[in-house]
Amino acid sequence: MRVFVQVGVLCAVVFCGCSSQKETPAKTDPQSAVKQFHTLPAFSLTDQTGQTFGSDDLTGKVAVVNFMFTRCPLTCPRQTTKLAELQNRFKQRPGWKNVRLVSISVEPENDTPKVLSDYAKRYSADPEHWKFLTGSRNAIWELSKKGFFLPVNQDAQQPGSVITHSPMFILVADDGKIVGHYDSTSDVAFGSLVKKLDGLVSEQDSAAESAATGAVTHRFWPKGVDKPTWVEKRKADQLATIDKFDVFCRFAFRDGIKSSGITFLNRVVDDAGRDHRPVHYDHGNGVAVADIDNDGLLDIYFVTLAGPNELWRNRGDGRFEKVATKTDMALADRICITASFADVDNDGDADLYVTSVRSPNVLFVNDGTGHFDDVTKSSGLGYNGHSSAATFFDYDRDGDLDVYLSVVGKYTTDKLVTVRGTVKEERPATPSKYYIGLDDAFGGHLREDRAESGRMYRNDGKNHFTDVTKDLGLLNDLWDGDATAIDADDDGWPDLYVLNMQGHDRLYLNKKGKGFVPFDGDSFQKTPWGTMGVKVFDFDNDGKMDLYLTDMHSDMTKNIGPSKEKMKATWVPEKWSENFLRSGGNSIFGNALFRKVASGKFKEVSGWYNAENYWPWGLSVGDLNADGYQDVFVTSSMNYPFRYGVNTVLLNNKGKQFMDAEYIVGVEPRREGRTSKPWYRLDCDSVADRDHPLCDGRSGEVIVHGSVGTRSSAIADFDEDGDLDIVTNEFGDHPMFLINDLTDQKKNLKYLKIRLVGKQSNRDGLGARVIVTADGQTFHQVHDGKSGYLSQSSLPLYFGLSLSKSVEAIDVHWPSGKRQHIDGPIESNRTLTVTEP
Amino acid sequence: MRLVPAITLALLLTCGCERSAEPSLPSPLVIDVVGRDYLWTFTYPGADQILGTEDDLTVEKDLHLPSGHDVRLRLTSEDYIYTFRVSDLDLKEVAVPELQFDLVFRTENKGKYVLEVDPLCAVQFLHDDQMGWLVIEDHGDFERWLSDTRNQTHQ
Repeated sequence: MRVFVQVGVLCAVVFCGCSSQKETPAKTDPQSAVKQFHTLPAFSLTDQTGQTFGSDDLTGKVAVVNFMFTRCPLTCPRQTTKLAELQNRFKQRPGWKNVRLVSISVEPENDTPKVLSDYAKRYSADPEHWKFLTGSRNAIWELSKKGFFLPVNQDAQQPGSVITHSPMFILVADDGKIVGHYDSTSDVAFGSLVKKLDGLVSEQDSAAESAATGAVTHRFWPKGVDKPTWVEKRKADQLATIDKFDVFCRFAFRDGIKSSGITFLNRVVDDAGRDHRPVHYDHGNGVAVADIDNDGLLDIYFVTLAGPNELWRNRGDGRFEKVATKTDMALADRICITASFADVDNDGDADLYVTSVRSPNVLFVNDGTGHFDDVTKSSGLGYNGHSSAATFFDYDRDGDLDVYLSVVGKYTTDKLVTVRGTVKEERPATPSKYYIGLDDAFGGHLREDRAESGRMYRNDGKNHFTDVTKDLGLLNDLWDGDATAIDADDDGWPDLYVLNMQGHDRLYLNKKGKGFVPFDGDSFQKTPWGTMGVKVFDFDNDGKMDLYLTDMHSDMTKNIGPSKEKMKATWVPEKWSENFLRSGGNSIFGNALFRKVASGKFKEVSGWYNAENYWPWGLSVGDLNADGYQDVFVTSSMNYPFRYGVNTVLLNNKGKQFMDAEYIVGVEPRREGRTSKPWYRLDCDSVADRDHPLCDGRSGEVIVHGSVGTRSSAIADFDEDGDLDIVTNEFGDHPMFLINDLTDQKKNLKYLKIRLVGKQSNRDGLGARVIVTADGQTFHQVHDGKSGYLSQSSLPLYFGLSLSKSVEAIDVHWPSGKRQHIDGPIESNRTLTVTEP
Repeated sequence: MRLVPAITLALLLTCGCERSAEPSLPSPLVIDVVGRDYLWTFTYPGADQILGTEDDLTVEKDLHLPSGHDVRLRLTSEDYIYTFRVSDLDLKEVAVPELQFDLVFRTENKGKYVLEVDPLCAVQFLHDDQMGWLVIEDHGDFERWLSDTRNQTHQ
């Protein structure tokens, strides 16, 4: 830090063109000088409007002071630009009225109020809050040198030579204490200033709010959760890469959640907030999409831990309406986790299976009009445990959908409590109850008594299922949050890839529907250590289905700085012992992209293809720019009390590499530039809260902020305009509804949506492979309903066709074994229904 | 290799007879390490050289160890998951309630090392950024510390 400050002073000297000035300041050690500053020195000068302005005017105010002069060629414009940035950043905050920026001229004989006023206007300085001061040179130089202990010099032998002065910003708290010095020539130092000032302004915000309400409100941001200073740079750096894309990227998403009418709110339990403990509740929830009433429009079911789940019907005019169902589909009496739409009774509509922690899972059967009946009791699917995702697929190829239920493991105690940290404006009608998590939940994978096997249910017809886990050899002790069907060995029988969030994943090969055996080939010797999300798709258009896995838990090892986000977390085995990892040296600490090279053979290529990102949950895949290559949206960011992470959009650069594009396509920054939000509240005067650590030394209300973060997503054409939109489920927040403008931006947009209707195969056609031939190229997709993290949806397949005029052929390999060939030309830009012959 | 402990034991027994007041250190020196409320506690055996007896010495936060001596830390926890970690010495082991993991090592590197806090044990801003110190010192200093601390504790 000391070196840093000195370098800063040196830079200022050089920049101001006064390299002849060799004289070092009286205080050679700026750091020790800093320590001598205690309080704001007294002064009285004249501002740019000709009014007197002095230290008395700063009583009770937060101030940023600097020394400058209008003729200064380099450092001063930079300082003034930075102060303008502060003004723009904070001016909307209620606490801004108690903040002043004070720029004092060290060349006052030239900088008259008129000169300063003109200068101020060039930077849009608000004269109420930003004072440019002039006065006698002696007084000001004394103030700089003796009041603030900052050097200011001019070669006495050469009148008219350039003045050198300190490039420091001085931060003064509202009690007159000098609380920091920040080198204006350093971005890092400026970042620190922004952070510190943000804290001070927050206190002023609270003061302003309590002045309005009469109550005392404090705000608290955990370290790194307040305005992250790296975001702007990240954005600029990414925008500078736009020329490197070989594919169309000049389109953008905008968050239309407000105009959509969707008011759903995901609510968390206190274990993920007020009473934070590292427990699996923070893994969050799914969002599932289907056309529930067969009107051709895609509807959305959102899941939440606390409060009600909500079903939103697409009206077709860009707006959605909340469906008031006769059956209780809100399930506000339990803590829900995931949702899967699938046609379990083969009657041509989307049924819904919702999972829960420590309450029975629920099966809703649709009557085709969007009316659902709860058939859980007779279905055999009402498992009560630590359920996670439900993956519907037809493992025995008998024409109906079976389901593998991922079950995490025992992470809760038996203590049932009411959620109480919810902020005022987010309280549900009825408070939710949940079982408190175990303090040592993250050691659960080390203990046999905490294991809870996933369940495989065979569909017997008539909405009845039988637990065949044991019979099929699928009993396991994996800490499993999600799974996927994948025909890894191309034998026509869907295999099952089961994720392990703390340890090694497991691929089970399907032995002709009679049983599953763990895969023992070379390909998956190493898998991600903390796998959370999965998707099977053909990223390089070679006709082979690849496997993309996201690793969340490896990013929990330590505080990973913004510059390390694209790296594998190689430090994990240095931080955590093998007794904890239980990886046998066979873990990848980061996302994995397994490129399929032959039947049963996959090669891990995530590094080469840029599949890494920071704190991912799961992923959704779709051709966002309709160029024939599948793109990836990785939902990311942990919430309270961790720092913010960006959602990652990986545009597929013609199968050669994924390119980071979340800023380019407008997915980041999030609406209103938010990176955090009020996360929970404490009433420090209440018996319930006064022992909370954050009530220590405080009274009144404390609002604690947490980072915003996405959990689940689904990619689909919600507005039926021919391009793919994105809906998310945020943790502890309202969703994002990201509307794609590709249709407006891309001339000659070509696509084909295909809906499958199985006859001998299951009605949804899950497990079918669809091959579209256009312009002599083939595009392969497997229809598995895997729409995103902790979710399954009933969606048509979307094929972007680049500039093809028409489709030459469609081939469908049905799970029944039937092969269907449809000859072209087939008209594009529509939804085609393909029925199994 | 197998002979060494036997010889050590024989020596210990001999020495024990002659100098019952101050027996030399057992090898390995076995210490119970327990994570509790974001703090480590360390239990050293007393003169009987057996852990779990009345003359054990339990201290909080700072772990003193003799340099160049075999050590076995028996780690467990009473609440959260902790990692006992000293990056500079490449030491790390997990502490889990109801389970015991051993960290066996020997180091010549005298000095004072931070025992780091791990994200596994909940929110860092609610407690200190470190869970204590590891002090590696020569035998003489270690024995002095042990005896002073024991005297203070038993006063």
